Order: sequence, then structure tokens, then C-alpha cells
Amino acid sequence: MAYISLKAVHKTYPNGYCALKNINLNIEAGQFIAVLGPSGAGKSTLLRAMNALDPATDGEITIDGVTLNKKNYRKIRAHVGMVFQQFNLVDRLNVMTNVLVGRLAERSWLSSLFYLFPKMDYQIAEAALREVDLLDKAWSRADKLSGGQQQRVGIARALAQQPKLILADEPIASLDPKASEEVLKLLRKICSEKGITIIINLHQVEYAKQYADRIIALNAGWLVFDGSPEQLTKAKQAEIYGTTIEEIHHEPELVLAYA
Amino acid sequence: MPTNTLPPKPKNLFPVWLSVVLVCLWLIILDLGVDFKALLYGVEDMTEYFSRYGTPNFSNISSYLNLMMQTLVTAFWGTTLAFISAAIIAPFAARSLSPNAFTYRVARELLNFMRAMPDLLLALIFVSSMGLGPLPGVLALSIHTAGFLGKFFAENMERVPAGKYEALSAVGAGFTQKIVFAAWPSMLREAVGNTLYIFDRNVRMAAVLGLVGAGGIGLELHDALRLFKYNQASALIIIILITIVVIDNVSSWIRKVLN
Repeated sequence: MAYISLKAVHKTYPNGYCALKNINLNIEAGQFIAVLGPSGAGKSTLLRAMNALDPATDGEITIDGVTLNKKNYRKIRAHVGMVFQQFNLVDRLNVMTNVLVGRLAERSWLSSLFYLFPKMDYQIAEAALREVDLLDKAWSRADKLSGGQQQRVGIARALAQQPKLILADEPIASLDPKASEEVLKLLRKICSEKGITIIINLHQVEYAKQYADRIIALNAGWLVFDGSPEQLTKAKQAEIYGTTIEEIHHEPELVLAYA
Repeated sequence: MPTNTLPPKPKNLFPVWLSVVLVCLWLIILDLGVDFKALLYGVEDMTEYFSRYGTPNFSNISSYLNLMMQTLVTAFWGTTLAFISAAIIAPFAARSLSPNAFTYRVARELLNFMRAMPDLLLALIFVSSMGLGPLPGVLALSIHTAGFLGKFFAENMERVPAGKYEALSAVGAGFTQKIVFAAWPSMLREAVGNTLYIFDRNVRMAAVLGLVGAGGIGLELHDALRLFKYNQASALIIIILITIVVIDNVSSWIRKVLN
């Protein structure tokens, strides 16, 4: 059985906007999966449905044999990491505490009230920081770091959850090209070395082709492409982004512009 | 349509409104029968009255300072209790944290109710039910100002970017953990500023509360005035003024340093 399976997943927001339409997907463990599509296609909604930040309104999502329902959201989230476009670190806390946040699901509210973590959690956080190569910044305030470094702290926080799955919602959209490459290489390494499944939303088709094992594309809430990077031809790209091949050939930047 | 000529100047209605307001004020004065000649005689009487305060009598200074200390302690404990209750209620009254719409409504209305109860009235009620002394003052101040602090804290919590709470939800953190790890660190500076402002206000109010029997220097001032001991009263007023000015400046200095 597939590690993650989505069956007939629909998502309609309270304002009536339908963001996901009949999504059927099976994802094997340990893969690096890129999700492409123009803005508003439902990429974020798809990821946020998987950890129930925006629960699907219809259909069934199963992760590692457990089907999402209202009662097990917190239990599922405990082992599903999430990386955000805006990093979402707590700026005034130090890097170590931000990584320790990844351990909170295992800790009682009473010990959290006093910022108490067992030694084991510090060791897990330390290992996570070593993984993202930021040990030297452990005691700096999170907002003193550069964007790329902050995103790596975000990844370390996800690693501290000891996850089998990391959802990355446009993790490089706020970063410069150099930091973007670093973050993508890091995620690719985590996927290959630790066997953690990674589902990443991207705007850049080139990056998706370069790093992903499998590419999924959405447009207006529909699943419009699902295949290997090699199968994603120029013609397919045009279909996904709703332009013609000629336009893409003439303007290499167009794919980005539509993203 | 572009033209060559200057469009007509928009009409300025300010003079009309100003004359309407002035006419209204004049009518009010006519209606109340305010006699400006009497006011002038009044000034003469007032200077005579104030001259009785001319020679402050500091012979009881140690007892006065003791009472001033009691007033400060009243304000301090009133603020501390207000802080504790506000910190407990505020998360429920913050839209982004409150577990559901019902608790949000209840917490908001509770804070509104606390704010709406004037502390002078509360002090009168508590003095009648528990007798003279600083305790009724502490309770009156804490109930009234908890309403303010709770509202300030709740608004600070709502200003924290939603992503910070989302990141906590995404690792499977609970309600208390979100408050401890996302809300408080992000709003600490503002919360300290709010609390100092309330302490400041409580010192001023605690001096007044003495007038209704809630202990401290106000009670002494009340007695001195009742017994026509103007010189002692003027000494007391000077001590209160100096204390308030000092506390005011210290707290505004701390708030400036924090910002």
C-alpha cells in the first residue's frame, strides 16, 4: 500500500471557492515530489490538507495507514514536518528553542509552561542543527539570521519532529537564488539519506526537473500532470500554465512569470 | 477629460461648521445661565482658599511616607493580580487563539464587564463589605485594570502573524504551548509596556481610592481635609505629586528603553 493516498479529495473554502477538485494520488515512501502550477492552482491547499491545517471538505487522506479525521489531527501532525515560505520562526527566541518547538507534541503543557525539555530533546535538536549545518548559531536569536539560515532552522525544526514526511510550502519563494539552491540541496539530501518523503511546492520548473523524483501539477484545482521529470515536456508545461508552446519558446522567462 | 483651464476650487465648508459650533456653544451658555461676573468673584475666593495651603506642615513626614508606601504597595498588588488574571483570560479573547467562537465571546464580554466597572465604585462596595484598609483597594484595582490589560494582551496576540501560530499547530502543539511558544515571546515587549502603563495609572488611582476608605495616603488626605488641617493636606498633596511624577518618568523611561 502506498505511504500516502488521497481518494477523491475536494476542498471548498467557506466563501465557496473550490481549491481542490477530485484529487486522487498515491505517493510512495522516500520520494522527493515537486508540486507545480500557477498561483491559485491549489498547491498550498493540497499540502495543507495533508496535515489538516486546511482540512479537506470531502474525500479521504491516509498517511502511513492512518486516515485523517478530526480526532487525530494532532497525532498525525506530530510526525509530519512542515516548512513555510515565511519560515514562521519565533523571532525573539533563540535558534535552539525554535528547533525544540519540533518536540512539543511529545511534551505535556505543564512542562512547556516553563520551557522545560528533557535532555533527549536537546540531543535531537542538536542533531537536527548539525544536519542543517547551523550548530554555531544555536544560541543566536532567530531574527538575527539571514533568510537562508532561517529557512534551515525551519527545516531543523521539522527534523526535530523525527518525521517520515516533510511538507515544504514554497520554501524558496522568499530566498535569493544562492540560498534557494542550498535549501533545495539540503532537502534533497535529507530525502536521499534519511528516506524522508518530501513534498515540495515550487514555482520554478527547472528546479523541479533538477531535484524531484516525480512531478505533480495542478491547475485551477485539477490534477493536470503526474509523472517523472523526463515526461514533463515543453508541451506539457504549456498545458499546465495555460500558454502555448510558441510563447514559452520565445520567452524563456514566461514560465517564471506565470508562476 | 483633460482641459486647459483650472477646475473650480472645491468648496471649503470649515467656516460654516465653525460658526455652527460657536453658535451652539453660545446657546448652551445662555441656557445654563453661566454668569461670567460671578466667575471673576470666584477667582478671588479661590485665591483666598488656596492661600490656606501655603505653609505645608511636614512634621508627620515619616507617617506620610509610610502611607505613601502603602498606596504604592496597593497599586503594585492590584497590578500583579490584574496581570495574572489578564494573562489567563487574554488567549481566550484573542480571535487567532481562542478554541471556538463561544469562548471568544464569553472572554470578550467578561473583559468588557470588568472594564465597565469603575474602580471607585468597586472600592466603595468592597470597603462596605470588608471594612477599611488596602485590601478592598487592591481588589478594586485588579478587577478594573484586568479588563484593560486583558484587552491589550488579546489585541497583541491577534497582531502576531498567523503563520507563527500555524507553525506551532503544524508540529502538533496544543493551546497552552501555542501561547507559551508563539504568543508571549512575540508580544513580550508590548505586554511589559502595557503593564507599566497600568501600574502607573494604578498608583494615581490608589491615592484617590484612599478617599473612599481603601487605605493608604488618600485616607489621610481625606481626614486632613475634613478637619480643615490645610497645612497637613498640602504636605500630603506634595508627597503624592512627587511620587506620581517620579513613577511616571521611570516607567516611561523603561518603556522607551524597551522600544
